[in-house]
Amino acid sequence: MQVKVVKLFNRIPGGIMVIPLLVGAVINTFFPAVLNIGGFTTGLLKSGTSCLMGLFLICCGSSISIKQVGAPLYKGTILTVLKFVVGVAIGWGVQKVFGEAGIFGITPVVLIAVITNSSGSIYATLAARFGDATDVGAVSVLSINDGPFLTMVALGATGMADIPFMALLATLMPIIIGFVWGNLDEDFKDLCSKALPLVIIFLSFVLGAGMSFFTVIEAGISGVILGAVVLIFSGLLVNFIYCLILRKKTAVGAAVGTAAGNSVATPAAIAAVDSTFAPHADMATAQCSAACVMTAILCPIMVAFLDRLIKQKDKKLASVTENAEA
Amino acid sequence: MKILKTIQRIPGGLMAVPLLIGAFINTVFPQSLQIGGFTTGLFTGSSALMGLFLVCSGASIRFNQVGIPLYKGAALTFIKFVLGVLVGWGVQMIFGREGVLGLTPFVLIAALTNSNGAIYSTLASQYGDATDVGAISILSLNDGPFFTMIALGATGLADIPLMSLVAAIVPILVGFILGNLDDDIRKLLESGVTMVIPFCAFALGASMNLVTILQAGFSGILLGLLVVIITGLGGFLIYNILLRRKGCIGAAIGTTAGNAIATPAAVAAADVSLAPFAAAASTQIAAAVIITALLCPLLVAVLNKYRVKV
Repeated sequence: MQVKVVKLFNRIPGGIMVIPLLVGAVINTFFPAVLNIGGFTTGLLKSGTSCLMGLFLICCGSSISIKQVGAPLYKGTILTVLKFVVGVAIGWGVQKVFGEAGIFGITPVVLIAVITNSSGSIYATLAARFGDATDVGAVSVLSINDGPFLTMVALGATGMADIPFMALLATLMPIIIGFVWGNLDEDFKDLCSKALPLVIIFLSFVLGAGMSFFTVIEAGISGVILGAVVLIFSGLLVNFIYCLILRKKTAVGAAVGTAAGNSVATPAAIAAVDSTFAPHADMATAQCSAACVMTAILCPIMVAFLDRLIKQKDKKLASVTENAEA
Repeated sequence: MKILKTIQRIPGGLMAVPLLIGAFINTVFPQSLQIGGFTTGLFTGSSALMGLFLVCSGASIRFNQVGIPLYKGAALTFIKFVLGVLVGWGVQMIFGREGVLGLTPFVLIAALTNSNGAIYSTLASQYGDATDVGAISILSLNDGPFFTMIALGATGLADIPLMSLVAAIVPILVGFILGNLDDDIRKLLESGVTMVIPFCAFALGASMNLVTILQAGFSGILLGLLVVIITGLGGFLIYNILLRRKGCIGAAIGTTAGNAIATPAAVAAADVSLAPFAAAASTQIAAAVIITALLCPLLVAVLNKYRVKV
């Protein structure tokens, strides 16, 4: 019997990422005990996120050619700034218009916490699928927002002194190792590009295995709205501006339209620093996790859809010019 | 620069070189592996990488050969256990509980009956075929204090580590199912395996501290050598006789797993009369773990070359 699993992955938009992620989330929601039997099973399928992410970044680093080292930094900076600015603008806008309590049960703080933060893993996997090596390398800069740091800056809850330099370095390290080794050794570069799909599949699964559909239900409608806001404003809007700045059409910018799994911890981190926020923290956490699950599933589909749209338009344009020339 | 090719040319190099580098970095600059995030995640993530490796290996096992890994695994597990018990009991008979040259029967059994699954399976994938790697599903039974306890008579049947067996089999099973459902997945997983091995070996090395060899002194080094010679060479000979085949895979069980460092304490907790030997045994085993991890790949590679020439 032959089932074309890989072909199926490729046919569904962002399938190589979304399908394992969904499978992981389903298993973790309904049979969480299965993933916690210990040994290599738990090591890989449940707690392997940071390890697989490291392996993934090595692969990504190896595919950046030394000639194009500037491009990832440039792209990464633009995406990070855009995501940050959009998040802060929305948060402060809601604060100005509706006040502290916000709207639809969503407070300005949650908006900032969720929007200014993106999942580096999802961005990087999508960039690998729909962009080139420099797009993937942009995650080196983008990873600054993969935690409560930028959110806290935006909220003024912390001074600039608290820059998590180590976290930044820890993200950069695998990319640098891959970059150096890959540029020195052509064989290693080939090996990495062969291993990449394998790593993506399991990384996505593990990301899914950290999620539960129950949190989505718990957060209710406000969580869903929050997820939609992230997708639309920090996904579509950021991509629109990103395309304008780069003067080229790409769907990769929309890949920052996610809320990172880490952002679930952000409300608690803020509450620890700023006690006035503490009463909102629980609800905010549930909303964040709902937004995480939702964006993790929908963002890849959105990017894939956008990518197809752009390619179709290009094709049409090309045929029009051909006709005109003819 | 041909870094990868050069490493692969060294006998057992794809495994031994990263392992040595990992152990060296962890000994000299341990804090550089602990900066957190994805760096620490990758360089200390041996169980995730091992899981990934097993998935890839599982995918290479064809549906019609499913019995062979089980058979090979049972043979290897049995050989390792019998050799360890024989040596331990022999020393006990001749020299008593204090043992000889600083090695007690207790530490001999603990180190000899236990093998490093990660090293076995990476060596099997390099020098054997998919069914050799699949044998890890059974061999993983000895990756803990269970067999040592049986050999020392310190356990009832209630302690069978069924869950750890299942936990080692699940990744293989996942790979096996996916690989047999879809040829494309099999190809995808097979081509990923070479990438996973060096990082898995590095992470394994990063859990070792070379200073422990010095701490354990002569007896620790001797223990390591005994494991490689008795269960490595011995495993090689007996395995080939049992299976009537020529191969070097039997030697790949000539290691002591990192888990075994905890075995003396676990056994001493179950049998108080062994408690006085536990502390020295742990240090000696820690040294043996490192020595066997470095020498066993070498032994397998040399045997492989020798076999090929014959």
